[in-house]
Amino acid sequence: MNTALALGVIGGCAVALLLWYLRRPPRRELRIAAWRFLGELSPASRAPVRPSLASLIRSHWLAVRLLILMLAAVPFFLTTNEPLSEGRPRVGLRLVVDVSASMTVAGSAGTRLDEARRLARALVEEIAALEPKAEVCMTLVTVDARGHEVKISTAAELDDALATPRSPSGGTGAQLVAQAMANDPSCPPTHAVVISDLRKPSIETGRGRALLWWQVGAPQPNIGLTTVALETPLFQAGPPVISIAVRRVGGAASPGEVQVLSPDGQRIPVHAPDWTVREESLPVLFDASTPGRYVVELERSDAYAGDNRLTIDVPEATAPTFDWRLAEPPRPPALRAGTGADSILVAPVSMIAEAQGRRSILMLGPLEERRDRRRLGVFISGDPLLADVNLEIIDRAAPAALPFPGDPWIRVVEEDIPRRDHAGVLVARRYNPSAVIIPAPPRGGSEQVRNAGYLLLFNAIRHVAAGHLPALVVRRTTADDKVILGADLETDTAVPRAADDRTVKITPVDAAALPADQARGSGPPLWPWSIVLLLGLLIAERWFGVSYKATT
Amino acid sequence: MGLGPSRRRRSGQSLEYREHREFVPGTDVRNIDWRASVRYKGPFDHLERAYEAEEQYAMIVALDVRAEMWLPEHMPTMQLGLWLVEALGELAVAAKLSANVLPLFGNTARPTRPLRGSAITTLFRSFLDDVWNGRPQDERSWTAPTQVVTSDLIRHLPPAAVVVVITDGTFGDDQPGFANIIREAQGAHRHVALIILDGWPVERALLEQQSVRLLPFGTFTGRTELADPTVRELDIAEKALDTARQRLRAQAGGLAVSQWTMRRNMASHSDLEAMFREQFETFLHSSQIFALGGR
Repeated sequence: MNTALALGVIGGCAVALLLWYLRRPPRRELRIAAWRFLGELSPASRAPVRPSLASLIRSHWLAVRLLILMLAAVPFFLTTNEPLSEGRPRVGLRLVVDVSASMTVAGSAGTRLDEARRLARALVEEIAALEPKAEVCMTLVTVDARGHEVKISTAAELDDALATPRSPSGGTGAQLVAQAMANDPSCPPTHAVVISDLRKPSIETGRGRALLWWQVGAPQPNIGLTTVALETPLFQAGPPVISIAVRRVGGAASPGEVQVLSPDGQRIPVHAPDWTVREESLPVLFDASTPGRYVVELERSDAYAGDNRLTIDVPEATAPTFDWRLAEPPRPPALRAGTGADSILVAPVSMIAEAQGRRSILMLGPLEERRDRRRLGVFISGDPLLADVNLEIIDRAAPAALPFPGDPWIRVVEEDIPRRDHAGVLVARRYNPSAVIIPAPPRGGSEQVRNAGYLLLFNAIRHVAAGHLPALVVRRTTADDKVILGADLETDTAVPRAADDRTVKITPVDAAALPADQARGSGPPLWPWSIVLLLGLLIAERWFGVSYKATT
Repeated sequence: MGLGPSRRRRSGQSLEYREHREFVPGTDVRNIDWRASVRYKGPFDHLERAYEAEEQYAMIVALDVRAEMWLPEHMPTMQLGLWLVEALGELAVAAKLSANVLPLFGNTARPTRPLRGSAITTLFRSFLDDVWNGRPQDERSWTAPTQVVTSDLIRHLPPAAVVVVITDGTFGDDQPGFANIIREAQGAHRHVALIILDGWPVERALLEQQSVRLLPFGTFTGRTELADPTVRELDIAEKALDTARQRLRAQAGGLAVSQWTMRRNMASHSDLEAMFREQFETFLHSSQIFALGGR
């Protein structure tokens, strides 16, 4: 019985007794046969109407004794939740089990939740058989999006508690630690055991009770669909291409078959990479010939929920148009021609006035070829425009002067150059709307230098046109297209990348052998004090009842 | 039946010779046996002829009828007295005694001669009815003026009688004649048994429970103030009561006294009845007054 209820019962009895007494006014007028022998009597000092405590005690001795007994019983109620006796170890076990979605991943020995159940059951049975018999209380906490606490004492209760279906989300390492360190007045924990497929997070030292962390489940490859990109071909005819990066962690050999469904539900062919390549991320490509929702799934993989299925909404894409003003080189046939404000201006740098407010590519030069060094021009070495450009043909020496007109919106890119051979001048760049000034491909000279010039032009066209590409809407979903929030968190369960990460113990241990860092607040039992209190109250009542009149 | 021999022998006028004994001057000279005196060579001058006088004695029951006997109100000592009178009457009939019942401290207009047989039953029942009907039943009857006078009981006591006096013994200075009554009753070859019905423990328990106001009754005028008697005061009262009863016995001298004391925790009629059975049986077995017949 808890303390509040006990005190309520005792208080109710006391009030009932008092009311009963007050409802029966004592008889106060008497005829005494021995009146002749009564001398002078002490006058009554108390009010004649209201009964006093003294008269209550003297006239209702049985009720008073009952009240005394009830008061003496209070220590029994108050010590209900106290340690039973000195010398019996008290084990308060807080068992925290991760029941999030990743725990449903099946391995050779069943799901991770099955293994967690086996471990927990072994622990519960082992604690129940502790010798000498210990005072044990156990609390099971299943952690998902919301924590659920269940008091258990037997293995059967454990099975029932874990059989309850849970939400598939949630269950981070921080939540598990918080639940393990939480206080429980009804079962003060001395030890906490966390069973999860997460790695043990770093925990501040001295945070309370002993914490044991069991990571369950055989190491599983963590494969997931991660980055999604849309690539629209500029220099050749064809539909946009969607690129999806498949991330492999922990040495997974193959993600299984990647299946892509078009907006009309038809399975479309994909371009799969060579999975034997030991790269963490490899792209999977497919053509998004029509706008709409594409579904990408990893089949027969061990990816976690949310990492194995994507829905990609592809908007209708419009290829950019080019206002080509250059005579040499001519406009490539794959580029659509156009003269509107949205078209990309490709012109000599002399037409810089028309480039204001437009995406544009302006040609400077052609520069004189330095025959002695056979270099293309002066560029920043790390600029993306130089992708695939043979940097050997780049002249890293700064030119004496660049013959192009200055303008407020065009700035010469000059970076701090700690080493002359690592940087230079890209010529010019504007970011919004994007525009660049690059050297024109040389007409003569070596073929290598001319090719580099053309590659630089194509790169410039690609980068300036990049802002024209439509945005994609990518969602991680379940099989019934429900969005999974935070699914990428499951990647925290990736198998250890190094051997020293696998330091978590998995074998059950005797909880009583764990070092309890909480001082046991037991002390001597309180129930003997109830006897002392009872005797004291009886003596006091008797003394009061007998000697009251002699002292008044 | 517990009353012992119903006849008692004593010397007296009779035709049945008992013995010769020394003549004491002052006795009837007609009893001198002159012939035997001549033949007698003993130390006495004259012998007289003694005869046995055989007679049956009577039992007189005297019940105190003062208002005090009706207290404590919820368990009056008078109840014990009434039961006692009724039981003694039944025993007298069974033992074929002559018996009578008279009120102590009261004028009696009742038959004063001991009766026999079924007349005893009628007499005792009539007496009990009168006492019961005269009990105080309301405040007015409690405070009604009563006249308690020394009984003329003595005048009606026959010789060779056993007198059973039933009272609560709460006499004060207002009843100085009680000792005289007892002393007179003991004369003329009578034997007196005094039964004191003690209700003080119950009254003391009542006084201890709460503050009290003493109500008037009988000759007591009451006390208007609310009193809260202490244990010491009650001890003094108890001692005074005991002293008064002891003085009563000392004045009477040689009295066969039986005191029936109630227990302070008696609360019901059945408790009183059980007490009566126990005490009455003890009284019958231990009383010496019914063992005097053989003398």
